[in-house]
Amino acid sequence: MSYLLGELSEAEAAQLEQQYLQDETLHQELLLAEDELIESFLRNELPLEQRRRFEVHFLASPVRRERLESARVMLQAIDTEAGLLKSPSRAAASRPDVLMSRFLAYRVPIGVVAAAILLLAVGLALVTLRLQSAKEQLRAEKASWSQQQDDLKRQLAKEQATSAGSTQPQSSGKPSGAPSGAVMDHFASVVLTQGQAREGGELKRVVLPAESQLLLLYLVLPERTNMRSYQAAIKTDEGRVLWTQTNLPLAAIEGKRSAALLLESRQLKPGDYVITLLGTKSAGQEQDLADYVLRIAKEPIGKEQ
Amino acid sequence: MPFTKHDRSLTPESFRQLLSWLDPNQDNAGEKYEAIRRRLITFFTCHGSQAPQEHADETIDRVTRRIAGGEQVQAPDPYSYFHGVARLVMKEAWRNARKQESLVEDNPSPHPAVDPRADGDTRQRELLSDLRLECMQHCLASLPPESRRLLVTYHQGARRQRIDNRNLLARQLGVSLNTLRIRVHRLRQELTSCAEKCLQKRITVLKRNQNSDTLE
Repeated sequence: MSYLLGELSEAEAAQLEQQYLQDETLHQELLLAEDELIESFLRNELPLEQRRRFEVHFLASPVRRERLESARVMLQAIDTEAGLLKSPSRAAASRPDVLMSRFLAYRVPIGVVAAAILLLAVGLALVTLRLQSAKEQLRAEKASWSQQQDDLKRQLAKEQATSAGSTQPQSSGKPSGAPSGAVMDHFASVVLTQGQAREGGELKRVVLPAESQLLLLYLVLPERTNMRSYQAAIKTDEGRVLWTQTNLPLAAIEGKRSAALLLESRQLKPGDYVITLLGTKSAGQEQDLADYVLRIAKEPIGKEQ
Repeated sequence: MPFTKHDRSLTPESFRQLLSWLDPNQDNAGEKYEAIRRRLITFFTCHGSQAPQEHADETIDRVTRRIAGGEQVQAPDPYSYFHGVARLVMKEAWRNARKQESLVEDNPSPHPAVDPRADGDTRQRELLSDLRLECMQHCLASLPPESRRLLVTYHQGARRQRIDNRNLLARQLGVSLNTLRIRVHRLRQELTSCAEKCLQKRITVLKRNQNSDTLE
């Protein structure tokens, strides 16, 4: 598993590779471990750090992204099937072959058979109705979720366009309408440069009004950074990883290339945070790029700290 | 054994030489060739290759050419030799990808990417996702009942319970846990392959219907 998550040194990895190129059992074991890793990821069972490595390293390969999608759908289908198997009436309703074989195996009076068929038909109708209703509910939830995602994307795009189009120089490094240390609108954005407080500078302070829903952080990339994709891990100041985001979109802010990180404000309790930006090279190697620090405070609108 | 498109530069004679180098027994050599190709694909996938099959074939092409060219192999066994060449192929692929990235960097897009087709893409992705699930359910339903039950039981429960389930299942079937894992892995491969074929068919039908709608 360490190999699959890119945790081995180059020498260790090379040794393992030579072994599995030669040994089918080991190769098979690797594929099985891959199945299990994907399943653990999909079932949310990986510890945060492994989950991050999975997203950044393991999913660097398009083949694996395909496998993940396929496994996701398979587990979904299996879970549905498990639901059917648990309920004998549903299972019977969906298996005419089983019914027929039972019918042929036992000689029962025709009246009993007719009653059983009638009962089954009623049961089947009820189950169908229930399934229909559940399906509609799922569709509605999916549509609502999708709508939320679209809204987020639209807001992000709008914000990126605004920031990229800004011609006014911002000496304090703040985008328009998003000053650090000031109360912001429902949609807030802040530009963060690398390791401000750690180098003795001012800690970037963000005061979020209670009703602010989204916070867009622009992480200015270190110079000459050129990666295939960018990821961020948000940590407490003690280093505990709270969550990660992958495939961050890029934007030009004040002429500087920045990775955009969109967060829901409710995810951020007042306190100090460290955001680690990572990049994935085209070969799939992951690299730590920079740390950004900020302090979150929450105040009512109009009240500046 | 069929030649792939990457074998174009190879001759039947050079390929025969490769097989004899792998194993003097032709049948064994064929099996070894297939096994090496499979494992090379895993190797390139593990290194984040964007085209693992192509890179595996490229590795085999190079080894074949060297063997046919009479190169004296210093590696202790063919596998180590393949590994060495595979690493070179991988490094070249990285270099090429970096060059591509520099080209993109030299000609950056004037605006941050906002794709006007994004909404359409979302709908299409949803449709594809629905179709994929339907296909998977169809393929699962067409498995023999015992295979279906095995797959379902194997994947049931939360982490700890799943481990217990699997141990119990292996005991019930009278096989080792590893044999059970391999059996399930193959079933999953079978299921995935069936679902992929089904999906392709459905997409073809969908496209055909869309075209006929457009024509009407």
